[in-house]
Amino acid sequence: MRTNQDLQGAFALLEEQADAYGAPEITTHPAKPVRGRRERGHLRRNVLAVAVTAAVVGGGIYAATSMRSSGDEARPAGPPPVLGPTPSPVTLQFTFAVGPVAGVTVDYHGVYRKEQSADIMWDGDGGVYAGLDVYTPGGFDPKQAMTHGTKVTVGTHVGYWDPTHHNAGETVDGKDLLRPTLAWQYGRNSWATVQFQPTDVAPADLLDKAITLAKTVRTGVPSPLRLPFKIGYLPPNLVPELAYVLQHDPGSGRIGLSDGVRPDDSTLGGLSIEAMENITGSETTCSKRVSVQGTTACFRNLHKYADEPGSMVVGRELSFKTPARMVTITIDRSHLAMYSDDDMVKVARSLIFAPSLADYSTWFDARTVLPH
Amino acid sequence: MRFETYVEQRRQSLFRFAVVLCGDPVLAEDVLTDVLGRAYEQWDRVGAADNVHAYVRRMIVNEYIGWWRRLKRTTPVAEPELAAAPDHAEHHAERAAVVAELAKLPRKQRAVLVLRFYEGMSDDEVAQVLGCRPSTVRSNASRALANLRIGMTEMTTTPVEA
Repeated sequence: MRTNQDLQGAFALLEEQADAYGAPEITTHPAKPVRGRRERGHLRRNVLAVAVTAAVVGGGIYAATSMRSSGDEARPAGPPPVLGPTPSPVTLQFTFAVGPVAGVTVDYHGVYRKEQSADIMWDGDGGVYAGLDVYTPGGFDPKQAMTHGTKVTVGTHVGYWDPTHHNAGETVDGKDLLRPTLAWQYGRNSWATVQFQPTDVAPADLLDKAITLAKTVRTGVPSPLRLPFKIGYLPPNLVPELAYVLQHDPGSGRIGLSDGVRPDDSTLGGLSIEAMENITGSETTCSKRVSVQGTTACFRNLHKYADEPGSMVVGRELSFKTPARMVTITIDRSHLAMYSDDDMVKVARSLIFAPSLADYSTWFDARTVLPH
Repeated sequence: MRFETYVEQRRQSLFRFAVVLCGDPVLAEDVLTDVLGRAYEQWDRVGAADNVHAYVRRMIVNEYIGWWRRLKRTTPVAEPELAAAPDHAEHHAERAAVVAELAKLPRKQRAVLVLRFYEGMSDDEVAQVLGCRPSTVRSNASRALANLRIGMTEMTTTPVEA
């Protein structure tokens, strides 16, 4: 049995870590200190980033961190929806394969309109992490890679290696956060990238790793993407925009759906559904309670900076918990006038769950989870 | 007190607090930057609080909890990077093990532990920060300590409620 001293020792170790890292410079520019809105990919990779030195912000995280739930408000009306054409549905399956590479773990992650992705981890070396993105034709603009990168060969393909690649707005203490990136052209107007998390590993070693991995990427190889739920009811005109999963530790899956209304955050779609491990102690307030799946579900408005005067509602969520999972259905602000609370309840009540959130093999083929 | 003065005086201690709370300096940096950005924008109000430092720390806790809740939805808990310690390897390893296990705690349990045993707040004070009942604080603390296999016999935390 440990003692209080062990706990205090852990706190002290974290303090040492803080001191070694150094407190951030805080500017007092009239504008809010910049924490750049970044591309979606960094949201998922952030997890991996915790183990290395990396920025912890991303487009999705921006939305996540800046939103708060509120339990004391009625449902806002939302802006009048501006209906455009319904987008074409994204086929929710992987069409690439990678590996095997000795000492490398691949977690297939998500399917999006412009790319498909996997998280890559190299064992040893203190852990080196990267995101692999395989873009659809035209989905990747190689200009930056070609301008800043060094030409390399990936098997029979041309590639560009940029060890000083950084994403706009990603800085630490005013310095750009480097994400060494290999981009290579695997087909006509078609590119793939391996982007490393910030690391102390020498760029030459990273390039070796990236090229070795890149050579094993095969496109046009279909394999199922699985989700831990099926949806029995959806309002009409919603089509799949994206789906992503974490297959283990803990398992979670999200599907984002789009309609003719442009979502505020295209990385999530207008309506999204997510199931993940239940988080003990994550109880929050409810503005309205309803009965769903034999338990109580909570409606909340999602706020941007809820603890500040003049904060704005950026969406609404309905969530409920079972002993094994937490489920959340979210609509963004642009869809508040499109989908009622009753619609969200109807979706929630129609969900059918895979037997085990912890066992990816029991999940449903994502192509079969929609009611239409 | 001017915002610049406050930040100059408290920057390091706020960052330490944020790192202990978040378990990761990079995450802590973002949380702190976000919070201080908002504090700056609202300094007329924040700076007029009875206890500015407590107010800002509360903002940090709220930021962390809200952030973590959503992060957890899409990301597994990762082990924090730990600084190397060449001496006292065994002792360091144990501390590192506790740090790693802290990182796996549910966010609210972790916040309770940090506020209760790092900040030294009473159960009532922690409850005020987290917006819950003192009994919930005690319950979370007990569960967190049990998860870490820590016996706190010298502490005043009461047993988990039924």
